[in-house]
Amino acid sequence: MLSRVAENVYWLSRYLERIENTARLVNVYGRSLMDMPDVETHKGWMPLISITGLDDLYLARFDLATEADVTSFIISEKNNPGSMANVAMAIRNNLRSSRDIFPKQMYEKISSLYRYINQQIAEGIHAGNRHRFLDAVSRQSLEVGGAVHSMLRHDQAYKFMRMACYLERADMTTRVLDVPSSLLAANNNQELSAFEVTHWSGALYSVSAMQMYRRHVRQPVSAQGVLDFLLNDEQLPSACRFCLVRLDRCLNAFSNNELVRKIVQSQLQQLKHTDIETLASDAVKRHQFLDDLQLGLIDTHNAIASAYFPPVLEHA
Amino acid sequence: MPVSRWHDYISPCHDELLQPNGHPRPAVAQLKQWLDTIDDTGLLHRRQAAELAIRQMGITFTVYEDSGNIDREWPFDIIPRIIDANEWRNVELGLIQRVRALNCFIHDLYNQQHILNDGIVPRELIASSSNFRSECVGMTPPHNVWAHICGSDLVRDSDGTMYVLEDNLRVPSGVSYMIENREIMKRTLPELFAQCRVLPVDNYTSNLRRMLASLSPLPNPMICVLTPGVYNSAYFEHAFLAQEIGAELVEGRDLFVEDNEVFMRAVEGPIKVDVIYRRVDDAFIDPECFNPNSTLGVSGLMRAWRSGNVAIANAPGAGVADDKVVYSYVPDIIQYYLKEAPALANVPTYRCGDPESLAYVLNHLAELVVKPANESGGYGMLIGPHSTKQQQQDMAAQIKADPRNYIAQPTLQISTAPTLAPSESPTAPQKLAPRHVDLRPFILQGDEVTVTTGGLTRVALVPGSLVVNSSQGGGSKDTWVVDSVPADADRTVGTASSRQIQRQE
Repeated sequence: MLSRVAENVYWLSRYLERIENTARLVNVYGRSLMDMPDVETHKGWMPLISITGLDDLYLARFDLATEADVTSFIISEKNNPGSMANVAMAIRNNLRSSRDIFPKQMYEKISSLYRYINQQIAEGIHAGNRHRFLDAVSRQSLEVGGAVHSMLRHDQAYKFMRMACYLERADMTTRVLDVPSSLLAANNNQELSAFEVTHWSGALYSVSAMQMYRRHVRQPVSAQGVLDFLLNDEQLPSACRFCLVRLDRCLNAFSNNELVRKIVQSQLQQLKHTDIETLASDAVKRHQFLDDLQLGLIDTHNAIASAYFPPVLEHA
Repeated sequence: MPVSRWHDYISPCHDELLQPNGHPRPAVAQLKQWLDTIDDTGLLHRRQAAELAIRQMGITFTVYEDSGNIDREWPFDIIPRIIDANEWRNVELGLIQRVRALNCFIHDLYNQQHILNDGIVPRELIASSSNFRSECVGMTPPHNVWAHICGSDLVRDSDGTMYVLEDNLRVPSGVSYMIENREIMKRTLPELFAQCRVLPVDNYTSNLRRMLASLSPLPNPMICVLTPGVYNSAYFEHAFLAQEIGAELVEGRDLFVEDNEVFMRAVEGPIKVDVIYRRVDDAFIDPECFNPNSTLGVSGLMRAWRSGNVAIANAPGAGVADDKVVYSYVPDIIQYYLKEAPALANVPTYRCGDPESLAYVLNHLAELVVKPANESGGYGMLIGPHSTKQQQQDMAAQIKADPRNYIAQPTLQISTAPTLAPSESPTAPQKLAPRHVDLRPFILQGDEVTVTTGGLTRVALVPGSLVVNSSQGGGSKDTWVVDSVPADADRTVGTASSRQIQRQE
């Protein structure tokens, strides 16, 4: 497979996963905020911005973190590189460059996803339509996933798509877990702590893991339970361990994989030796740990890029 | 209601579907009957179904505009253009003859030049051709074939004769739309396929694959489609064909040449390339040889080709025969190499390089069509009867400045086909109007010669217009080659599986 196309396919898959995660996050977070009536409305939606690390960009434009401003920033803002509108555009561009390697129905599924986003986004940012819009994006993303699994030959292109997806998903999970840390670290007051359970539940919902948590963990939602489940579970698709183990398996299909595998292995070791109890009680340490994980994921990406993608040309 | 659909349908010339008395031609009977029975709402729904299919399938072409490149959806008319299979068989033979002769001609030009020595084609014509590539002299490509893929444009005049208007031998495009048009029609008018014997068009891609593979000595060569990239107006087609023939779609930057061999940059290291189906003009394929500023090509590609380590289709230099002055010699070329009379007519052509013709052309600009020898896409033309005095004067000045570069032809009364006129509103009646059409069949030559079944019918959607190019307001129709011989009643029934599918107990 061509290096250039491998890179297109990889980013296509990351952006597909990202848009699905973003749609779910906005949808779910909105609902969990409704269970926290006392949170000051002007601060309430800030964590959604913090998850993607876009605080500076957002605060440069807005003073308050109201529902309307935050959701439109995330969904349709042209100046936000991570907005769903821009991610949809990136999906379209990567799909154009890799169209020939996909089965036609799979191509049609992906292109109808971005066409839907393009056409409906203006309506979709209104509170009354938002749920329906985001839900449709999630549903169509699932259809794309189904097409990828059952139509594409499980060859190198498929493996690049999977690796991209695991990286993106693991990254999102670490970010979602970091929300309660930042909120609780910033606010020492008792009132907010009362909503701690709501926040951890929100984390589970944000990665569609609530029902699986209940079924598997069979304990009330707690910081420790959620951290352990979302970091270390071997069978939950959004758990970091699951993602890294699968990523490592994909790498097996390629030559020249030593460096990438070394990085992934060391992350798995890091997860294995984590003291979950400490992370659950100490928000600062937790943030530090999750930040390290994110850096590890970036290293993994860089190693994949330098092993398999075309060299970055220096522009004159 | 359905009657009014044809009410004021009068073709100014030959009509492809209707006879002058308004009755359908024999192969068109079922379609006409269908059109006479379906109501406006039904027809509107079919039209919408076709539009939906085009959007879903992502059938686009790219237009350059100031605001950036835009993917436009393919303009399509759901009324098919129908050709009787008996007529088609003769056209097909004529096209095969033509391409075989053209390939003999190109090979001869780059080798012994018998045809110039014998004075059949004037030597100055080739010496002054911007498409003659001296880098190709002395080459013997596989099967002595240079133009592997040819798209010839056919039009029908008012007397019903099919004429060849031009032969596109450089990077002809449109074949993907021919195949996709059939896909759209299967979704749009499924019941008509059951009634008419429409011959399939999808064997083109397997023929293309076989032809390209025949250019390499290997049993299963690595084939690439070389595209200028996502911004090219035909990128859709490049991706489509690569996918259909199981080739890698590559850009110049994906390839490199080492020791006169061509390689792709792949994730696990270089992979050798054996055949390149180039969709880049030969002036851009190798900055080492041709345009040094080209970023679309591959440095050293010509060396690799000359060494015989890679086949290129169409071969560099094949464009020398894609010239409107050379066109005027094609009947002589056929006679010279094949010792056969041409089976397809050429449009009578005045070469402005010839003083007598030049004088005639300058005196009759108002009734002639004037074309530059080396343009494609309908650019730089003068259509005499539709032109202003000023345009004629401008053209006269251009011709005088460079007579060799111009030819003129009588204005043909190009045939029409019924086309659904765009209605002002969804509730307005769905009316049929005569619109001018041409036909571009595609001919493949490798170890053997094959022709598409029919081809791409392009239609000028603007009333009265003769310009069919999609970049200039043209659209397309599905082309049905219909076998009017009734179907054999006995159908072979396949052997059914002897095992029933399993059920839960």
